[in-house]
Amino acid sequence: MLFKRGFSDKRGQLTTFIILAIVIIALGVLVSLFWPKISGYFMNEDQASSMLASQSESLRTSVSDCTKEVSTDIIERIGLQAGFYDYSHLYSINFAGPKVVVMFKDVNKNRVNKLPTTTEISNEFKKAMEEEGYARIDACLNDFSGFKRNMDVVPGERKITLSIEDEKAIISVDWPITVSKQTVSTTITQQLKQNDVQLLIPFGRIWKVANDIVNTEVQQKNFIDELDNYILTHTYSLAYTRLNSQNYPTDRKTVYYLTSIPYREGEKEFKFYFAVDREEYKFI
Amino acid sequence: MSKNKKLVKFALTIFVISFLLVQFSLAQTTEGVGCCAKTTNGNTCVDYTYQSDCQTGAFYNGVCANVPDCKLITCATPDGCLFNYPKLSCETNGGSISLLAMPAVCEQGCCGIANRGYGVITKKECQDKTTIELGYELSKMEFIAGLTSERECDLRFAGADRGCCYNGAATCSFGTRGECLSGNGIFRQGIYCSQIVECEAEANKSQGCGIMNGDYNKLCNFDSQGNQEDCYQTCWTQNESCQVNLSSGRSVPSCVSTQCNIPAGFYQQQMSNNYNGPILTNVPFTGIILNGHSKCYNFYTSNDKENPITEVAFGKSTGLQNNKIVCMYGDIVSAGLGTDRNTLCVDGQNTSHAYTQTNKWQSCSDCGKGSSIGDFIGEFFSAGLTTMDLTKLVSAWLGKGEGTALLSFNAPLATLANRCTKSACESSGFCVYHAEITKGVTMPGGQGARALGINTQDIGASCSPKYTPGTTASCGLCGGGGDSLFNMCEEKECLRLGNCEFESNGGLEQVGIGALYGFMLATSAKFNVIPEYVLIDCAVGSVPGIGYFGCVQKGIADEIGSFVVSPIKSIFETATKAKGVWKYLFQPMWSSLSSKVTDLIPLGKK
Repeated sequence: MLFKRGFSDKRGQLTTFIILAIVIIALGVLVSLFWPKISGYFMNEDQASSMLASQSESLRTSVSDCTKEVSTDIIERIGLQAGFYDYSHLYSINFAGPKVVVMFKDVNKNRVNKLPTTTEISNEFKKAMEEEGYARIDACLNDFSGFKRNMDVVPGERKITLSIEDEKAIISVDWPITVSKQTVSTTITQQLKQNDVQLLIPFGRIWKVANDIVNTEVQQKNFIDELDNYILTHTYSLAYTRLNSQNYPTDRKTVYYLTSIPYREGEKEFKFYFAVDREEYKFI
Repeated sequence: MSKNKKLVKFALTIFVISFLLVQFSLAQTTEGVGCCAKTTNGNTCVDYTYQSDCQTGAFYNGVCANVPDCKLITCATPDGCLFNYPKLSCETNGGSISLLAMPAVCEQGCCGIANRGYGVITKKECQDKTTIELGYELSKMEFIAGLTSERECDLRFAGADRGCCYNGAATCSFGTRGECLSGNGIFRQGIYCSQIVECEAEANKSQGCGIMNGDYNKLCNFDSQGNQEDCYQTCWTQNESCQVNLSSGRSVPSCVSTQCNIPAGFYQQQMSNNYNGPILTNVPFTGIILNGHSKCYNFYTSNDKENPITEVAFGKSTGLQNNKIVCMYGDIVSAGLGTDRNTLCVDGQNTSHAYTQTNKWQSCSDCGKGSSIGDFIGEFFSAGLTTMDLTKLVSAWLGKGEGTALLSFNAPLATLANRCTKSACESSGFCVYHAEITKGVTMPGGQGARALGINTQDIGASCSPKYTPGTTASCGLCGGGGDSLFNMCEEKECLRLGNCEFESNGGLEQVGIGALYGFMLATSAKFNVIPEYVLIDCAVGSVPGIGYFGCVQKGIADEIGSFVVSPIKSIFETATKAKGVWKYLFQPMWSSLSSKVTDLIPLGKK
């Protein structure tokens, strides 16, 4: 009986110890998780400002990196689709994937030019960002969760746009992000402006060649016959550009493949593919 | 009665419901489809668009080609001009419209701004660059319209004064005097920016190709701010250019050859058998192609697999195409002209520039093609005769020659034929002439034909594409065209018409067709070359013209001899290509028939 009672007491003590241990471990985990915030709470103003500045720079870099990654991917896709993100209003030739037709004959036998202007390409980029780019950037940034451990992050309305230049594509990131740090005595707030992202994509140069091709074709000429002379007169601007073409499925339809040759550190090949259709207008 | 009423009511109800359903579905499917000047998602001038996908007031019945907002204009943008561009697309995308096909702003020319060349661009681009991008007055712009060579444009501005332009606060740039003064800087002629302490630029920080006019083909040093400094090597301007290559991730400038070296065996590497037979290129070559020059690189398979090189026409070449290969700054780029082979590549005469040409194979089958019954009759009565022969026959018919002995009525009938001759067929350069029977036929030397000097002419002529198209559209023409009456579909002709498969007829079909052709040919030939007196002989003992086997008197046999046998033999030989069980059935038949014919008509015997 006595033995039984002693055993029961010991068991009760053990349970209490276990519960206590679990509580201590849980508290330790919680403290380690929230330590940056907790410790930050006891920072003085200078320390908080300094911490906010370093975190802000890191956040800006992260935004820039994610924007670069997503934008590059979208621009590459736009290049393969003749400058369009959504080409549902045009038809395509399926030759190793769809090649968007940017020149065709209308009912009056005129050749219609549908190559997007650089402004239109920028609009397509904007469309792409709104449809998928922003979500992908958010996923890339993991909703700022890494930064939110140290400070409060409140992202504002964003507008990411593309500006096409001959030898580069510039992504303007208009995305104000408010970061703040609360201490015992005060709250420090900063509004971050993002850096523009410069991509080593010679979009403008490649687009100009595409435009010359389509302009030649709409004037009832076969660009392939003009190619020799085109190369000879463009002594410098084509040095880092290559053009291949393939008639498919008939000789009246041509797929043009424009590619850039990288010459700068960090630059990758850029592809711009499109097609022209010289066949008579057919009622679909 | 009431039951009937109920039935009527039920039927009426079903009818009304069906009618309404049909109307509803029709209304769904016939929603207005037409031209949408502006869609709800911002696209402009889109044909075949539902009205519901179109912005209010932007929908038009019909096609966009007839909509004023979608009229084709020239669109001038800051990056260049777009011709034949829909008006609204231009307006929406920041362009300015011109109704002229080539407005002055779209003219290409050499653009110089403040004594510095900016390459060959449109006038509008040059203007925008001057005023918007660089912020200069328009008077600083020099536009030389029509100067479209980049090299010439570059050299035009190569001689301008150069130096470092100091703008204060460590902003320095190496450029022309004009640029510096336009930006209110202090110009230091002939001085690099790294030589000015205030610029804080480090000399010779990197290397690259020159960026100043006249230096594009030079290897130059650059300071830490990217300003060009001295150039240490000039590339041989004709066949070399300065290019920056990425070597291990680093940019390294070097003089690179712009010509393309075609390795020996470049074409041979491509020579392999495909399922059509040995592939051949028509222009095997090795050596060098200069930048901006081109060659053809065409592939075919041959009909004559044993001796393909001497083949004058190519055969079925499924999947093979003509290519124009062009040298582009040391790399070969290719323009595949399509496996339909409707476009061919042709090497230029005395130039190293290849060009494309339309393969006009469609006209081949028109050679000797007649649409009227006269053509049919004429072909029948002209078999075995040439045009010259016909002339002689006509003159004989008119009593002016020896040919009076010949059957006189065939001459005027023969002239009705639109006959295909070798020269007519091959004049376009895209067709090849072939006849079923050209050799082995000896004209009878009787009083008529030989005395007149009448020679045998080709029988069953066909005119086939020289450069076989890569489609199946013309396979049905095999045995047609040319002299379609006696033109049989042969394997060679079939394979020259495109991606066609030749299938021998079954044994019985072959016998039937062979007999029919033989009968027709023999009958025709008999009419055409039979001397009159023999005809009379025949008429006495038999009925001429019904058929060869109906009139086999010795006299006829002597006269027409092998002329009749040979074509029959030829046709029957074609028929012997029967396969399988038919072969065993047909061969004994042919043996027996040929011995019978040989017995009846002594070959080669006068």
